[in-house]
This record gives sequence, structure tokens and C-alpha cells, in this order.
Amino acid sequence: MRQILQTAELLCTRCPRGCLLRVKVVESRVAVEGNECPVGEKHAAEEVFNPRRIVSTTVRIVGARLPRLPVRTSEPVLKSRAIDIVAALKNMVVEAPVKAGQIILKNVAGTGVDIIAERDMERA
Amino acid sequence: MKDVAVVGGGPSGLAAAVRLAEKGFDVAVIEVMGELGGMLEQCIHDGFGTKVFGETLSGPEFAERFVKKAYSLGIQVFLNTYVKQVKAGGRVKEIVAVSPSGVQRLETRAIVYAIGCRERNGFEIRLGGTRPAGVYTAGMVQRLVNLYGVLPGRRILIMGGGDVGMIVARHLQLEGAESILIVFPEAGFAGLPRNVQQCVLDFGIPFKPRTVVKRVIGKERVEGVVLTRVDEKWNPIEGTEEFYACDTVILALGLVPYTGELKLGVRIDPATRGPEVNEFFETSVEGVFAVGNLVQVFDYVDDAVETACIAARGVEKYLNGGLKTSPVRLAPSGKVRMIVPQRVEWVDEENVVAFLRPAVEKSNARIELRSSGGKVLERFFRRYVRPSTLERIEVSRSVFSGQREVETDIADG
Amino acid sequence: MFSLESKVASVLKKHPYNISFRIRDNIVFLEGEVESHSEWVEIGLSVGRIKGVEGVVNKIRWKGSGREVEKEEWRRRVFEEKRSTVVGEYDVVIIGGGVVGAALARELSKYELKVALIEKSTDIAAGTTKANNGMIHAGVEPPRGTLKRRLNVKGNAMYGRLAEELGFRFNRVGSLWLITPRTLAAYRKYLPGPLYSLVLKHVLPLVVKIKGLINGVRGIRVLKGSRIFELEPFATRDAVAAVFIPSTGVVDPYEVAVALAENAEANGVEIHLATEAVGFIKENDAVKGVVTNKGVFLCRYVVNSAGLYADEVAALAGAEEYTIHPRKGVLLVFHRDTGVFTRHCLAEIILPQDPYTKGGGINPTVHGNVLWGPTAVEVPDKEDTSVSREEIELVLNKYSPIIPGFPSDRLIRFFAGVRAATFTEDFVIRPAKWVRNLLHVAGIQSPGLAASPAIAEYALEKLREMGLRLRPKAGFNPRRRPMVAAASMSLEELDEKTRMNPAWGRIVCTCEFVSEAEVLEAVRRGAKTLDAVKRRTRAGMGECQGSFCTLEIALILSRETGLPLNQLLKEEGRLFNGHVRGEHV
Repeated sequence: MRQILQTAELLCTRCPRGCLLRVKVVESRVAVEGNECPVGEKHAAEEVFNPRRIVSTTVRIVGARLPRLPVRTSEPVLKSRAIDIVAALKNMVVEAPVKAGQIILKNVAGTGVDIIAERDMERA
Repeated sequence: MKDVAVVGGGPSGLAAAVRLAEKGFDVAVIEVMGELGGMLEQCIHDGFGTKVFGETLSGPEFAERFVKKAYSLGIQVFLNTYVKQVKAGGRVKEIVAVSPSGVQRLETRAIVYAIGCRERNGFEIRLGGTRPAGVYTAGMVQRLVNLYGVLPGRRILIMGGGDVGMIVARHLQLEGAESILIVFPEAGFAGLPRNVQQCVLDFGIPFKPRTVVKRVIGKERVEGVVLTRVDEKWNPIEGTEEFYACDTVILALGLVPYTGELKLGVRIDPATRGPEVNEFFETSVEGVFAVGNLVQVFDYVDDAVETACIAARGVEKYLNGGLKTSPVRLAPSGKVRMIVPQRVEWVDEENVVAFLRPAVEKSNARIELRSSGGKVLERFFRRYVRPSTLERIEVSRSVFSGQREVETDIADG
Repeated sequence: MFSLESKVASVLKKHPYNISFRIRDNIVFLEGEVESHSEWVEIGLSVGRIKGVEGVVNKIRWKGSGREVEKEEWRRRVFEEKRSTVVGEYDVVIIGGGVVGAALARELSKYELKVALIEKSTDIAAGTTKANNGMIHAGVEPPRGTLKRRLNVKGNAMYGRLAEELGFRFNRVGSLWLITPRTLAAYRKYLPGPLYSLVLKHVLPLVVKIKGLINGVRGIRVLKGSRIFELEPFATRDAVAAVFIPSTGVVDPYEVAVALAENAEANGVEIHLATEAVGFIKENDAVKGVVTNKGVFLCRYVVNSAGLYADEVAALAGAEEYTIHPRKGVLLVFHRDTGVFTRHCLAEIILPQDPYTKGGGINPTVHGNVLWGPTAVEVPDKEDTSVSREEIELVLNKYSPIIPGFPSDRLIRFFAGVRAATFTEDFVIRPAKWVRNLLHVAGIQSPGLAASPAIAEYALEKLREMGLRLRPKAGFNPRRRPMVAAASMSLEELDEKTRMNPAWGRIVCTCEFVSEAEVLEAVRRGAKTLDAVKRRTRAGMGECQGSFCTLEIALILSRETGLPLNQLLKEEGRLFNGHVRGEHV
């Protein structure tokens, strides 16, 4: 008999319909109910085994027209790390000018992902 | 004299300006704030651009592409400039604008309005109680937190289960709020499932459906609210009142086209609350176009930008002396709350892009266009429609020939 | 002749409670216990109505009433802390910076006197004054024999000159009281057939006119038929007659109060904001100093114009002669584009008056908006400025018959103010009975704004009678430089101003067309909070109600005052609160 390792309910975010997926994790596969189309299964598998998000926040910037610089992770990171990532940026200060895409912090909170600037910020 | 003056330097205005400049027109952009980019500058989360660029960008990243393009095309940009008066009656239109360098007059052959929308405030929903410090609209909070690094308060109540409310909830959760509760009179969230999952469920933010704020309590600063449950018609259910302690009330009550700032007598559609437009987003005043969230509030910036691109074609036709025929009215019906454009009138070959908001939730639905005699002229199948998701359809020109009015409806598929 | 004692006793007997009382110098002190706050009000009013009663101190408790222990505690503590820190020595200290305190301050600034005005809030006019509907009543309503009546007619007449000197907006729009079939509907059964319309059309308007004439109001005319609609084209066609009172005017109440205070200050009066009286230093039957959270203001005379708190201030001084019973008024504000619907202060006479909406109507404002209201509801809490949906509905239902075509969906804001009524329902402007150098200027309810210039003159006269020597100040300047608004300039003027100062061309509030230069000027004139800026410039008073400009104004305030964003105040409370993630900046 195969063992059910985990059950979960999650929303499919691939279209506005937002099917409520009831997911059973069976060994290394998922069994999905509630999906109206096959995309739901693929989505469920990703959300269960590898739920990743872009994390966006701001850091303090000096010498610019605005006091904050919007930044984000360069790639999606495991969603459970979002809080750690924002915490790692506490009290960080960068200096203008900054270019969009510029790396602000490498390997944030040990995730292997960098923090990049979302926009140019000229020196004011 | 300019060929085109674009009022508003957000994504829609910039998209229109860039398209027109690329076609060789002399374009000016007039923006009231100190920089281009509009509201996207405060939307630092990702998810923008999937339709326009085929990738997911943050708000500032999405805006930056248009801003850089606008500057590289040599578009004249007026910042900190407020349009005070417009004379748009004739072929030559005049804009009177106020800026720190004085009052300026700009002559132009066409005008594109792209001044976006404003947030609904507590007075519009007759939010009861006192009016202390600590009550804000969601957009103001987003700006405060993301541009200035300041929190509105610590214990947060958010009114509104749409996308804006959810996104603000996530920001505040990450940026150090002590507690957050979202209340909404509907049975569930109204926004995109993506936001429900990634803003609310990911962080376990509490949500009370079928709940509204009956009154705000507090003298100097918000001390709490009285919540009450409501039925399906949003009527309060007696005996369900409860006190909820918080120091901040955030109003995410939806957006309305900012027509109060339109300085000319264009006709307003009571359903969209924006100006009535034809298929090239020209208002009831010839040569004056309206695009983006000013026309109606879009779910995606990508769709708002598309209206700007369509309008750019219209401006081109207008400036080149394109022809119109008698207008065909495009009307909503019982199952369609609103539709843009409201009329089709240009002589043109290409399909007409329309956006409509369903009034019903339905699986396997058919969006139908019917003649006034009831004949189905064209239909579009959708797996699923609902009021909080705007539907985009592309209608063949032939549908409109010989008609005076075409009605849209939603039928079973 | 019955003694006052027996009259009070017989009035109290009508209430089913055991209320005890004592009388000292025509002031009645009530004690006992009742069920509800409304009974507390009712008993107080019934005693206040007795001829010869000069004040009612209503110490009756009702279920749910409580002493404000924390406040008393705080006053005691501050008193002990500050009683020996002297701020200064003054001839006159005025407690309370509403329109009345400000008017008296300006009146006193005409003389060689050292005067301080202390105000507990962060701005002038932040209490009852700011929530007034701005009407300068002609003086038809106040009953005979009242001080209200005398000072209303006189005050109204003073407004033209005052507005000219102080540069505030004042429009003598006139008022129009409509008489419709609803007017006497309650008495329909006593007026059968044609008698009803006869009374409506001919008798009632004449009665009103005569009442006005007796009060000294001039120019009243009775209008009939189409004449009504020539004056007020959108008024209900039901109107069979109307009483036109040309001397009624409208002002912006905080503009008036701020103008008075600014002019007083320019003429030497010290204005101390965020300064709250917590007690008095007394010697025998005289006040020697007012103790506040900022220290002691030594003084020769004290004026109590503390509005809603006048009773508490009086009690602290040992001059408890009245209790304030707060009466809330809800007002609805409509968008400027509705201004075309009404030219006059419009009301419909309905008899008997609905106690919850008496005196209200539809008023134009000096800014083009239209106000509906106010209501009149007795509330237990002096700071109960809450507005409920039901109250909004009440006002909408009550006044929509007056202008049937009015677009009531253009409602952009609502608010409430609390009137500082006493149980004798008249102004109390007299020397304290048991404190030699304290002047009461209390119980200033409607038409207090209209009367305020006359109240100031009358109060000055009382101070003179109390022994204050008045030597005219040679350098008194009656004029104040008005606040200039971009919205009321021509484009040429605005262009010229902008070329000299670019801040004029930066529009921070687009709804009301307010420039950065105006915000800077408001700050320069002493506005320290968001609401103080708003009242002086109108930034945030338009269609979007501040959702765009609040942050812009906060940024300017922060830059100008040096306070970080998260320390700015809205009025009394913090506008924002802390940095993201608790960062220290």
C-alpha cells in the first residue's frame, strides 16, 4: 500500500478561475482533485515540491531623490524564506546612484539568490 | 504646435506617447508628479508584463521600459505640471498647464488623456464612526511604505478583499505589522487567485468574509472598529457586532476613473464611470482620446497599455483625416455590467478589441453579441467568467455593419 | 410670588426620581440618580427654563455615567509638576481658542494689555468652531429676552467690516425659509379646508416677519409664487410662500477664527497652543495664576471661553455655575459642482420643530460646496463626533424635499461637531459669582459664530466693569494679510507669482487646486499638523478627500518642521507610525 505523505489544499493561480486543488502527496507524486484542467496538476506538483516566489521589498538609499530603493530577489526563492530575506535587509543602506538590475546583496540569507534593484535611482 | 499632447505619464500615457513617437509624431507628455511611471512606482511586487513583454516584472521595472523608451525617442516631458484648462472644441486644441516654471500654453492637434483612477474613500461607502488619524486608502499606504519606508500603524485592519487589499496586506506583513485582518462583504476574495495564494494564504493572514466595518472608534488615533457580519445583500445581521482592536484602518474599496480631473465636457458612462469612447478610445470630443484606467479600471496594466496602443492607431487615423461612419452603439445587458468601447464608428479593417465585465459568475459561458433584433452576430466561448475578471474579446468588423446597436450578453455555453 | 426654591421643587416633582437640589446665588445644583442620559438632559433643561435660574450645575448621575478619574488624576499630577514653573505674567489670560476666544483676544489686542490665549489643541478653532456650518444668522430665531438675540443681530452687522479688515471670505447670501404644505401638516386638523392654505400663505410668513422685526432684523420680505423661484430656481415647487432674510451670511468658520487669532497675535497677544489648563492658583476669591501643562500663566483677569470644557474649567477655578450638555450636529458636505443648486441659506419651516434637526437646512459655503444639516442630538460624550449611516440618511431624507433635483450622490464628506450648550440655553457672559477676576464666556451655542464679534465687545465691556483698565494701543493694526489661494487667482496672476516663487506652480492638491506655496505659507503662519494645513489651504477637501495629497503635504510638513514623517500629527494623533521592520533612521 502506498503511503500518503501529506495532504494540502491550495488555489490554482494559473488562470482567474482559481480552482481549489485538494492535493495528496503520494510518494514523489501528487494526486489532485478539484482541478478543471490539466494545468492544475502541474501547478499542484510545483506548489507542493517547490513553491517559489519573487520577494519584493525596499532598502534605505542615501543621496537619492527618494529615501527607499525598491529591490527584489533576482529569481523566485522558496516561499518559506520570504521573512528571512526581508529580515536580512533590515538597516541596510545603499548609496545612489543605482541602476535597475544592479546587485544590491549577493546570496541573500544563504538562499543562493541575489537582491537586485528594481529601478534606476539617480544621485539627487 | 504639437501633434499630440498626452496628459498623464503613467504606463498608459507613456505607452500611447511611445507608440505615437515611433510613428513619427511630435509628442509631449504632461505629468503632475515629479517623475514618470505613475502608480507603478509604488507597486514594487512582481506580476506585471506577462501579456506585453511575456515575462513577469515588478511595477517599477515595467514602467522603466516605457520611461527609457520615451526619453530615447526624444518625447518632450513636462514634469510637476498640472493641466488646468483645456480648449478642445476645434482642430487646434489648447492646453493651459501650471508648473514651477509658470503657466504655459501648449497647442496641439490631438490630446490623449491617461490620468488613471483614484481610490474610493470611506465617505463614499458612508463609513461610520469617528474620523481620527489612522484611516488611509490602500494606495496611500503602498506609497508610504514603498517609497518612504514608513508604516501607517502596527495593528492593521484592511477593508476590501480585492487585489489591492491583498497586496498591501502582504507588504505590511513583510514590513513589520503586528497584526492584520482583512474584512470583505463578499463570501470570498474578489481578486486574482494568484494574489489570494501568494499574499494571503502564504502568510496565513486572517480573513473575515461577509464582514464590514460598522464604525471606526477612536478620538485622536484609531483605537478599534466595530465589525458586523452581513448577508448576501450586504445588509448587516443584527447581533453580530464585535469590537476589533487596531490602530489602523486601510480602505481597499476599489478604484474609480479620475474623471473629476477632466477639464472638458466629455460624456461619462455611468457604468464604467469613465468617459464614453469609440473603438479607438476617442471620447465624445473629437480628437480627444482617453486610455488606461481613466476609461475603466483594468485588472492588468497590460490591458491598460493595450488600450493606449489602440488609441495610438486612432490618433494616427484622426491626424491623417480618417473617416467615420454613423456610430454603432455597443451596449451591455443584464449579464454584462459594462463594456468598452461604447460605440464603433471608424472606417477600418481591423477587429475591434472590447473589454467587458460580467455581471454573473458562470462556467462554460458564451459571450454573445446580438443585433437589436436578437440575432447572434458573434460568440466567444469562455471556460469560466466572473464579475471580478474583465473579459477581452476581439470582434470582427463585419459584426457592426448595418447595425445601430449591438448588445452583449452572456449565455450558457 | 414663589421663591426660586419652590419653583425648582415643583419642577423636579414632575420627574419620577428623587432629585435633591440646593441654590446659591440663583445657581441650582442638582444631585441624584436617573436611568438615562436623556433624562439627565431633560431634568437639567426643565430647571434651566425656570425664570430666575441663572445656571444649572447638573450633578445627577445616570446609568453608565462615570467620573473621568484618569483625567482628574492627570490634572492633579500636572498641577503639582508645573505649579512653580512660571511662563509669564499677564493682564488677561483667555482659556480656549475657539472663535470666541480668538475674537476676544483680538478685541483685547486693541489696548495696552499683556494678553495670553491658551488652547489645549494643536490649532486654533479645533473644537466646536471647526465643525460649524459657517452660517452668519440674521437673528430671527433667538427668543426674546435672551442675550443670544441681542448679540446675534449686532454680531451679524459687524461681519462686513470684520471680513474686510481681516481678509476672510464673507458672502451675505441671505436666507430663504420656505413654507410648503408640509410646514403645518401637524396642525392640519385644526385648519380645515381653505383655512390651511390661507394660514400657510398669509399668516405664517407674516408671523415670522414680525418676529424678525421685533428682534431687530431688517429687510425681511415675504415672497409668494414665482418670486420665490426667481431667487432660488431649484427650490421645491411646493413652496407657497417664503420668508427672505437678506442679512444672513456665510463664512468659513475656521478662516474667521484663524484670522482673528493671527491679527491678535500680530498686535501682541501671545498664543499658546497645546496648552491645557489643569488648575488655578488662587488667593482668597481671586485667581492668581492658571496652571497648565506648560507652566503657570500668572494673571490679573481670566476669561473662561473653553467651550465644551467651560464647565470643567469653571469648576477648577471654584466658579462652577453651569454644566455643559453636549449637543452633536452632523453635517454633510457636497461637491463644489453642486453649488449651482442653491444661492441662499435654504430651509423649510416645519412646525413643530423636529428636535433632532431643528435649525438645520441647506447652506452654500464660501468655497462653492453645499452643506446639509446640522442635526441636534444630545450626547453624553463631549468628543462624540461620530457619524452613523442612520444619521446621514436622516439628513438626506429631511432636506431632499427642499431641492428635489439636488444630486445627493455628490456627497463627498460628512462630519459632526458638538455644541457647548448650557441648561439655561443662552450665552453665559458674566463675571463669576464667587471668583472676583474670572469672566465666563460660556454656553456659546448657535448663533455663536454670528454673534462672536459682538460677544467679544460685550465681554470686553464686562472686563472693564470688573476693573480692567483699557488704554487704547496706538499701534493697533486692524488689518491682516489674507491667505492667498491659487484657486482664486487669474492665470496671469498665478504665472506672475510662479515666476517669483516656483512653489506657486507646484500643485499639491489637484482636486482643490492648492499649490505648495500655500502649504508653505500655512506652515509659516503656524500650522503644525495636517489638519491645520488643510483648514488653511483646503488641501484634501475635494473629491478624493486627501487620498493623493495627504502624503505630499506630510512630506512638506516634515521638511519644513524638521519632524520625521512618523512623528507628524493629523490633529492630536500620530498621522503615521514607525518605520518598516522597526528600522532606525
